[in-house]
Amino acid sequence: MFSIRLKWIKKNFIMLILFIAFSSITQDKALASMDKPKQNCSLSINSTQLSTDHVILNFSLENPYNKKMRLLIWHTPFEGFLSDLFIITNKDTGKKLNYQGPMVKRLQPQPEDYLSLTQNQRSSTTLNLSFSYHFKQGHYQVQLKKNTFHFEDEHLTPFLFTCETSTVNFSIK
Amino acid sequence: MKHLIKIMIAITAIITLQANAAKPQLDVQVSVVKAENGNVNATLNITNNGNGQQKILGWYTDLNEEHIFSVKKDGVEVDFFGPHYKRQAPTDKDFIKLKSGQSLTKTFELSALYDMSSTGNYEVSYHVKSMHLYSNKGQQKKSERLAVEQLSSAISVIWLDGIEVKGTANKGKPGGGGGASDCIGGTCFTGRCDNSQKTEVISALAAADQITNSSVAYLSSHSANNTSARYNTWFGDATSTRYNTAVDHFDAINDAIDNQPITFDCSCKKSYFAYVYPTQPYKVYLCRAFWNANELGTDSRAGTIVHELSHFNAVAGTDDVVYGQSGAQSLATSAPDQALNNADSHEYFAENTPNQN
Repeated sequence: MFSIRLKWIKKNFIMLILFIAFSSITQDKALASMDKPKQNCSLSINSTQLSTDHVILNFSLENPYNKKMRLLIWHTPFEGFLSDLFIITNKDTGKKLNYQGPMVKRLQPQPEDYLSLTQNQRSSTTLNLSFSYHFKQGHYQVQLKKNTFHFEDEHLTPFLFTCETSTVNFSIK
Repeated sequence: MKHLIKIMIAITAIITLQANAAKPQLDVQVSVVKAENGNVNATLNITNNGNGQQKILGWYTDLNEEHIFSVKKDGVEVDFFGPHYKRQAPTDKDFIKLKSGQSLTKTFELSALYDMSSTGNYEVSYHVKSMHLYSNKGQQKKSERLAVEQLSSAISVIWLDGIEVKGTANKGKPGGGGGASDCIGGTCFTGRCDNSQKTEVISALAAADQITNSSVAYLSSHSANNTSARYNTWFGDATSTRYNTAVDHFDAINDAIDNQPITFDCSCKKSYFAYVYPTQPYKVYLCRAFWNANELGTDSRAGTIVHELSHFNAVAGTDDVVYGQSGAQSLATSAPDQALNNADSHEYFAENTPNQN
């Protein structure tokens, strides 16, 4: 009797391993979808050496999908200033700051317009806001203007992701 | 006083003598040819007719490095828009060596660097002078070091028919026809636009004027409660506020084309169509996709000009909310207020391709 059971286990050993492996993958998937509204995007202002010509913004994004993806960096902080990326308000006057940088009309995305992100990979970038917005001494708030990010998987299937970031306050003395 | 003059003459004579003594036997010829597209090509040929090897400073054989040609139109020197570099003294590697009998031949397009857009007789010659034209004189005596060496060619003459401004664009513009900057009928150019590019831009601007006039005409012959497919496709449902915004935007674009001093810059080599700085009217930077586009139709040169002008805060202050025709159509349906803030929506309304009433 015991030897028969052992035989059965031997016979089905590979199947068993496959079953365990498969169930752990599906469990991962289920966890990821439950986690969905987590903070994949973050925006912060570097408070050291903050001055009218030195306003350093950090932006980071974690791949929100459980697979290798690529992000079209158009209209995201990853391409630098080629469009008006932020809404910056002077809280003392209530006025929105004018974007001083370029706005570019483009044809088709080129290979260099994509950022590859492996599973769970976080990518970050910094921008000096004073290159494209004129600051004076005062209190400001900044937020991301366009938060729909265009991802593609390896089969070029498009995924739209809403990049939720909080509004960041900072003061220039 | 007399003595002083004598001494001055003597010094001048010595300097001249030394310049002559140092002058190698280089023969320079320039020939100028007009291309079919209006560009002007100058071929420079420098030949060493002496017995030994001669050197010449490489900068003075390259129009991209130095102002080596004198261009006169009807006897008056034409402005040069090329670079002026401040350099350190040359080193030996900056000199080109020509063996006896050897020649150097290079061709340069002139109209991108000299204003050759108006009709007239142009005289082109090679003329350079430098203290280091033929050798690095760092080790020589002061008088020798300070002697200025010169090299010139005979004048080559060419007749050019100017670039004409057609249509009604530019009609009320200030500063047209002349002035120090490179302008044709109120439209100015920077960033080395050659004659062929200037001709194409003038034509595209006339086409932009035409599609803007058509847009203004549509908007004045319709109203918020009487729109048709053309308006609804690109701007969605009309309210009187939205409709008035569209009217204001196209009136402003029309005013920019007809009355404001627009400058086009040709220096961009990126794959983009074009770009502007919204706070810096009315300068439009044209890139590669612009030159590859058709004059009229979807994503055309005319439409690109409308798109770019709409970005200026002084015009309509539009943003790039979405790109492309399908994106703009969805935006019109889902967010008509955003469509009126989207540059491409304005472009596609003006291009009206395929045609809708």
